[in-house]
Amino acid sequence: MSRWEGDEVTENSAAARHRVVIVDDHEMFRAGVKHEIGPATAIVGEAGDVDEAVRVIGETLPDLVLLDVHLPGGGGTEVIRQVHVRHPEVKFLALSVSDVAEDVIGVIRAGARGYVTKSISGPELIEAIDRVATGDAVFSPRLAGFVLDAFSGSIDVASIDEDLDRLSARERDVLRLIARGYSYREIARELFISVKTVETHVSSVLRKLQLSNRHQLAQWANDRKLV
Amino acid sequence: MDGEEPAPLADIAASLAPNVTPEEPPSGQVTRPVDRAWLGGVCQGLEDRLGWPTVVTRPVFLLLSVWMFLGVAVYAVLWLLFPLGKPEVAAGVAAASRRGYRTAAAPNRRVPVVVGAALVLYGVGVASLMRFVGRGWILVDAFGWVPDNAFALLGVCAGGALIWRQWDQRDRRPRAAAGWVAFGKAALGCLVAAASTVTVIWLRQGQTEALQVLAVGGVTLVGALLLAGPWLLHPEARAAERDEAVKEEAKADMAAHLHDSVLQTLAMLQRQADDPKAVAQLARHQERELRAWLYGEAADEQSFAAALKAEAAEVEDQYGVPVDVVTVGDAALAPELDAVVRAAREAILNAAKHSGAPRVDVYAEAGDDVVEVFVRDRGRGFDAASVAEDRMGIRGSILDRMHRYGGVVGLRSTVREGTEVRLEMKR
Repeated sequence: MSRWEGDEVTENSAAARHRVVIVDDHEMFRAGVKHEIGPATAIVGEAGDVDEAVRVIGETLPDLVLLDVHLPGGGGTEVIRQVHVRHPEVKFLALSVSDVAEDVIGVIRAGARGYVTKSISGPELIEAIDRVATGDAVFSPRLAGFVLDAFSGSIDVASIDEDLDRLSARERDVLRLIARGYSYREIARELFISVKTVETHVSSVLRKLQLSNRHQLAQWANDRKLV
Repeated sequence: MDGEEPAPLADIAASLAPNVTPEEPPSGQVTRPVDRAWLGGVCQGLEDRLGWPTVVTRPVFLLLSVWMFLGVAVYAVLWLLFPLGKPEVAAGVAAASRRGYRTAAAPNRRVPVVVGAALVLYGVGVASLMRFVGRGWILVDAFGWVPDNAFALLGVCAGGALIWRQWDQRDRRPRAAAGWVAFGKAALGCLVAAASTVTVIWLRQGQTEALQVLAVGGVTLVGALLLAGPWLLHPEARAAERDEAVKEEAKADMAAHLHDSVLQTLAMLQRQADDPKAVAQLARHQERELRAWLYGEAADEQSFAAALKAEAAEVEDQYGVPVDVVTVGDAALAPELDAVVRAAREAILNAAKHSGAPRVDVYAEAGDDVVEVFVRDRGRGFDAASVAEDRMGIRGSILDRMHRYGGVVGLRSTVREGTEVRLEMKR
């Protein structure tokens, strides 16, 4: 990115720069993330464990928390649980090296609005932060794969909550394209829909993932020895 | 690595050291070093921490023992108070030794010294009670102030010390051979204690009393055996202990493997620091390996998803382009699916080699009646019409393979936007 472009981004988004707290127990990783997203966001705090994170988030009330899944003191899910008791409006984007289905699904079901792996590039991370901070959801290809896996197959008819326990054909299409590595914009072009509609589908999947008691979700986790 | 450059490796090892060395007890705390102990390691521990030379403390303890067994008592109390000092062996070294990755130095064998000391102590105790008179040795009070049964106590102490030492410093890993050796040593300790007791009583009190003591001792022993019976006879109790130990070892070995492979990679990274591509390749390879170790699900080598991931990893290593594989569902690796995997490999290879894209995305979905694989890059793309002539890889390896099993290949490429290959196979 040239200097001119960098300055442009900073100036244009100055008013909308999201206030971010970084929670990760690896200081070196925090420094790296700060370096990458620093120009595009306002980093208002950082923390290395659950207690510190809850305190810092409570003090700064950021637009978004970048949250490591594995943390001393109970992990990312514990941070979300404690923060959401008092501040349900704080949004979390999970950032993890783990990639284990249990961790990924677990942190989403705890209330995170997105999940990306730590190998994500700087510009992609900034885009993901912007998306989650403005109320949308972010799925990495792997998370999309997990969700497709978890919602696949036939389901116990008696337990069907049609609204929550099944993905619509369109949602499935969107998830498959995410899993194939498509960006929201590319998905919109592919399916002849607007980016806004893609975002709506993804948010809807997120809601189902968080609220569904679908038998298969538990069964699937069980099969993979994740519970 | 061939060890040509020990310096950087040592540096890395030093920087990683806090992660692998066992925790040290707080400074000031006296510990008993097992490896250099004569008996319980109390004197050696005092020397290590307080600088009191063992050549002084050891005789002092012995001399104090002559008067009312004060030395023995103090030693015993200190033995109980001082925690066992762990020999300073890094986890990686210990694990490597266990796994046979290195030859372990023979542990310091002090046992003969201890047995000898116990026997000498016992001999001195008995001899000091006896005096040669006329026809032979008879038992007398060596010192007027020694309590009647004190020297029996001395023998018991010596034997007891042997047993204690055995349990205190025993090799915590259960091995059949070590088990019998330990048992033998403990039995020897019991024998020394019992023999000294009986001998002293025999000489002092006479045969009847000695036999009585022997009988009481025998009954006690039988009782103890009965009490310990369930543990001795119940294989599960011992098996549980053994399982625990095996688990501990497995954990340590895994940690050692991780640290070792990371160490290798770091050393190679330093050597190739001026080649960004090689660095990225090494880092990616190491990341994949660590991920597999830490979070990997047990891969079924025969499954479609596992085979695809393995091929992708190979291409990734070969060309240094990250290949992200996401799979949904899985299937047994039938011949037609094997063809899909091979075709997918060609597609990934092409993307990594020719597209110039920084990353290749692979998505595979194994449904009940169809298997699909998408290989996508955001590289330079190409004009699909010109493929037949100049891209034999696509023709031979992808189209022909797939067609042979009735599969379908879709190809979509836009110049400057990238390429996506779609493979579909009916099951």
